[in-house]
Amino acid sequence: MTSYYFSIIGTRDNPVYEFEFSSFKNSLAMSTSTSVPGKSQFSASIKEMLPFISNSSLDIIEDAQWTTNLFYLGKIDSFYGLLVNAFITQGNIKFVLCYDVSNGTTQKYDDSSIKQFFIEANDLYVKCLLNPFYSVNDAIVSPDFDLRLKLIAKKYL
Amino acid sequence: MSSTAGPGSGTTSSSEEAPDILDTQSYVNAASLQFLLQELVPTSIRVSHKLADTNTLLSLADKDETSTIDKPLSSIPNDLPGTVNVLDLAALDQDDVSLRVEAYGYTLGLKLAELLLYKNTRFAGTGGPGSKIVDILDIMKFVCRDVWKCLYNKQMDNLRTNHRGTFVLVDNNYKLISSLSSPKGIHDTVSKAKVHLWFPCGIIRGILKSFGVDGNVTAEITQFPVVTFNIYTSINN
Amino acid sequence: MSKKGDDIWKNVDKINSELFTLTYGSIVAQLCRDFNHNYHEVNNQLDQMGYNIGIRLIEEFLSRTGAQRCQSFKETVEVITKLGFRVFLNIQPAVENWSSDGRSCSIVLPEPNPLNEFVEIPPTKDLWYCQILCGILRGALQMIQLDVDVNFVKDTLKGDDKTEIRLKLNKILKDEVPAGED
Repeated sequence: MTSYYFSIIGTRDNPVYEFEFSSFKNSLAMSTSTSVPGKSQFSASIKEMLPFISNSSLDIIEDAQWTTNLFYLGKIDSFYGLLVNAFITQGNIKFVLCYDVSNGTTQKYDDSSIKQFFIEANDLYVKCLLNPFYSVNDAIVSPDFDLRLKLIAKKYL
Repeated sequence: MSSTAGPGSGTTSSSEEAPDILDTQSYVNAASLQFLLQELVPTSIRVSHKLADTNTLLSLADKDETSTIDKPLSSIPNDLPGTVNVLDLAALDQDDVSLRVEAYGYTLGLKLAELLLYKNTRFAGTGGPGSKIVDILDIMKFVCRDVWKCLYNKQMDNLRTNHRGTFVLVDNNYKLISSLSSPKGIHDTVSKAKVHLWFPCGIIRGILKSFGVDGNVTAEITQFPVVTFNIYTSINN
Repeated sequence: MSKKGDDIWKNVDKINSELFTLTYGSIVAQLCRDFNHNYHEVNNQLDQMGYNIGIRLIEEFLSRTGAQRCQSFKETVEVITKLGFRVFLNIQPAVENWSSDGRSCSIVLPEPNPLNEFVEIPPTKDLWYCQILCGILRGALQMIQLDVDVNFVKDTLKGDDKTEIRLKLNKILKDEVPAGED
């Protein structure tokens, strides 16, 4: 079962939002085991590395900011068996998704569903931006955003 | 579910939900925005005045008061509802007011680019994000075309660049000031119109910022109501 | 009257409602910062802006709709909701809760509307986010010789079940030149 770490990083490389979870696919079959559906299974040592792994990919993303006209940058990095996919919004807010594929899983990671996840996360971000009391680069604390993001994570990942 | 979507319907709001607001275009009367924007400068002056006046600051109302026709809107002399006396205040030229008006535009601009491009790409029928704007000239074209169209239902009339980061945008009939007319003559009109221009300057600066470009934007009234926007960036194009 | 509203709406110059939402929102948010979250003062500023707008907006409204003098307060409120809100904001609020003397009623805004869409206000009981509407209504009504108290009583942004504006007719003013008009 794949575990994921999703983060949104602002234009000043500041963290805006983060969320850790595991694939919801097959979670019914797994519910008899010890794992809670949706709870990530990163090891403790990986867990504390996650923000750093996300951040270390920023250089690659920021290069792309001025050179590519794509929003979805695909898989851009890998690290300790973790893969890193990224997306950049028109306003240069970075979406980064780290996930492990080595965790004894046969589930093949699906690039198109990751892309769709990013696109819908971008929808949510734009709606969040429409709130006048939210400023660019503020941490996103809206419970509504949080809930909706979790729903799309469940839908695609 | 998105894989089967035809042209123009490639977005993925689930079918049981009401149509997603970002998928549809809703409108309001353009006059409503004009009314709102016309109040920006007087409000900025009142806010600056109120904040500068420590006496009123101490007694900032603790309860909501309602406006009435004969109650002055602020402690500025003759600032009665329906009048423009507030614009006569020397404060009109104060940096504080200019900064405040510019700030309204800037916060709007910061968000506007992301929203417009997002909507444009969705309406382009590509079913997902189109291409990201990275070139500075394309950014300027976006301001001239899309932003101006959205704000004023018209495009900028001219765009020039020296290819060293300076851009000149010209609007031959800038809507926000074209309806201004001072009984004291054109000279007074122009001098009072100037402060209104900080709003579009702020918008443009905010938009550039959201593209990751730091710029300096000023505006001048070359021949009323022609407005020239000068944009300085550090990017060689 | 709704039909008339539709016809007039077809012919007005329109803009994206999100642009309007964003612009109004950035004004309210900036006022909150300027006054360091003294929400009473923010309400007052919004009310004043609205009042000023209302005084000028009534002329645009009358010339656009050709609305005639209303015979009763009930009719006036109907014109406000079916023509006023429709022509300027493209919404048609409901009118509820008439008092038995016919002098007060509630205007309930549809959700979402072009002012509060996507908005999440700071946790406070004091801010009336759409207060500008009260000022506009009061100002416009004043110009047609109606002295009306207008204030919000409920707001979905604060978790209420609806967004409700209460109107109360105080008196019908005599035709006189209001102060401030030359």
